[in-house]
Amino acid sequence: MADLMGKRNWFFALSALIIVPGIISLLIFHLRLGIDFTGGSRLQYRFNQTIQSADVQSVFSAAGIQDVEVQTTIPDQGSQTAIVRAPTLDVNQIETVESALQAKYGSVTRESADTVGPLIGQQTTRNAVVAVAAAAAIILLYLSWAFRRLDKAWRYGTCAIIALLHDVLVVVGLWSIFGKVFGLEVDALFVTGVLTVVGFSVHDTVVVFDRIRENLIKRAGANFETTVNNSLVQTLARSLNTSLTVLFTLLALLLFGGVSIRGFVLVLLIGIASGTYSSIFNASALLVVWEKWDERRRAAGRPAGRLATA
Amino acid sequence: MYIDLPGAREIKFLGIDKQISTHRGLDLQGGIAILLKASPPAGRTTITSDDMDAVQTIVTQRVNAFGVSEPQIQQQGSDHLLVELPGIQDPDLAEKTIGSTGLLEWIDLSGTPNAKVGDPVTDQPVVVSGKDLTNASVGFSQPGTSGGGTGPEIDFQFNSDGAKAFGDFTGTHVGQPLGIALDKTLIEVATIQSKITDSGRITGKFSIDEARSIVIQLKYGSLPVPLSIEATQSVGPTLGQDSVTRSFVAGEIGLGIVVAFMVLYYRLPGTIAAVALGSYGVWTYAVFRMWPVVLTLAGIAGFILSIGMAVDANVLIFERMKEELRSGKTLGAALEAGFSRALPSIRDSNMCTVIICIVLYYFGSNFGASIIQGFAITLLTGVVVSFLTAYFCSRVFLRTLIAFIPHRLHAMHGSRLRWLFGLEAKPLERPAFGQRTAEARA
Repeated sequence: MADLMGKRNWFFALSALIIVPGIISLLIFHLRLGIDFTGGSRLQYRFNQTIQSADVQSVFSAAGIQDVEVQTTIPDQGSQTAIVRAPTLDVNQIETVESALQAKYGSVTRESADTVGPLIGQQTTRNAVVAVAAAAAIILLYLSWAFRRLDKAWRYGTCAIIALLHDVLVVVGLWSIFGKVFGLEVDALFVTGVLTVVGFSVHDTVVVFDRIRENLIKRAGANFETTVNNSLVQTLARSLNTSLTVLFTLLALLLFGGVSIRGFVLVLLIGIASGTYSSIFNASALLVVWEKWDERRRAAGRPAGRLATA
Repeated sequence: MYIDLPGAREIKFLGIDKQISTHRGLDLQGGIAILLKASPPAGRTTITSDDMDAVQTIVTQRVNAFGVSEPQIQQQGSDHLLVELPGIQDPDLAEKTIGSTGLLEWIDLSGTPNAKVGDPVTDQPVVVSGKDLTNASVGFSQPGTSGGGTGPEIDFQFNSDGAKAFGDFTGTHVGQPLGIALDKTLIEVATIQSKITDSGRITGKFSIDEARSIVIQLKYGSLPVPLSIEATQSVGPTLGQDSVTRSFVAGEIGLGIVVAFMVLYYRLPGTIAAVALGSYGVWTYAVFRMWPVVLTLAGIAGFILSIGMAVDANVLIFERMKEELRSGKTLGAALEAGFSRALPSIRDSNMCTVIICIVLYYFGSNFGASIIQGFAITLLTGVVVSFLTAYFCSRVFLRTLIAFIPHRLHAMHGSRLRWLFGLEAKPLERPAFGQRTAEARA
């Protein structure tokens, strides 16, 4: 049987390798908030030619619209799409700038236009905070319920929450980097994706912990570490297979699905991969570390010898 | 326990299919959504529900004038109105027509003779207003006729009150300037040539669309309270169609991969799971149409995501079944044990997702986030339906199938059927799980 727990420090190191740059990026660059939260306008135009984002920007500033950011997509069969982010524009301003674009580029198709007033942006932000808080509270309740039959339930709960925070940090940290590098934004769908990921992650961890509980009762391993290791190996096929089926479908969506939800699908893809990883390699490894630390502390305090299983 | 999810119901579904249609969201068919906020008019501090009802009626009439097939106009909260116009060709025009107050006034400019088109109307006296009109229509002025411009014009007729007031005024103010203002901005300034009573025309420099927009507003009256546009969302028809096509392709590929994976990895039970997945797809789609769920791009993502999750229950069950078979149980016993022992995990996992979906549904009640409700609903539907199909459908299928397998093959130890159930060719001759690592590390 594979000895996964013996390599636990490698697993922690891999997690750190992804999370630490993300945290640094978060501290320096923060997140790139989308118009859902900040308010503003987001316009998407398709040109029948290749374009330079600086040129598009100058058309906007000539029309009196400042603070405009233009992102262009990779040209596709001679046409190219520009995504323009601007302060809140009204329909007249949009029409004015569109005629200016048409004058410069000929045929310009508006694929989408979203405008969010500042009040709505604030409301969405408030709702997002409430949703995250509600999800956190519900997950705590769920964990205390799921682990109600476990000895040291709070310890399992803490490890599950650390694994969950791991996944959130992976996604949010990477998004901060992606925001800087590719201009990906945090919008309402991002929050949705993170909450969905959290649900998956918690559940994955619960399945693994459930097996540990079962094996502890059966006294299936020589000590706590082997019990955890055996439980992991036994649930490995299940954990990997269920995640794989989800990841396959998400990958299909990412590669072939609609362009406007690519960011959302990417959040789910990264988050669910991270959720699977953390529940297999981090949550249970933390349990082992905690148990070892506990053993050492007890050994220092009184004569050792007792096996610290359930 | 024997729960029957018979095909007969599906036939019934198909029977009433004719009235049921798939509702596509704005992002899939193109169109515009506008969130309007009513503000109290001058002299008042609150918006009453009567105001909102009046606003809704007028906005509905204006929308109907555009001839959109399935417009949605609903009040949100105490002072918001959400208007969704799927498939509309000119979203900008719709936005302008729906959102502006539509207050047309004839203004006495004798005190301010220098006023010109585009100026705001402040406190000049109002002669008559749009409520005294009986009819308005778009016309075309004939070049060369008196007062005629070039291009579209708005022809109107006053009712008796309007005609009297207008006649009295124009009769006494010949040679003086008269202004026409829309929503307190001058759109035309003219000099009164002679007394005008019952009808006239406005010959501002309109485009045909602008003229049409003003006529729609005049026909159905001005709004009792001013509206402001809080948020808009418009999607072009090509992007929407492109999204639908792409989503279908992605769904098919995703489904194909999942089916291939299940069949290759779990073999016979995997094939059953794939069949159950087929029924899952049909059921979910039926629910979407019956409810009805408005399908958005995020909603389709939720649906496709739930395809991956739908087999989660089957994976849990089949892994458990394999373990039971390895431990020496017969086929029937392993099947039952697999299903019953995997149930708590499946139940817990579904519960977790269901709760998150409910949170998301609440979160998505906001305008900018309304796309999220689509995701929450489809994912929720997918989770519930997949629990039923993956658990109950595949159990019934497998039980039926096993009944056809000769009894002597039921003990898996050395059975030729091992491969079919995804087991190793030969029984494991190792000690029970975990012993080796335990010894190695002891």
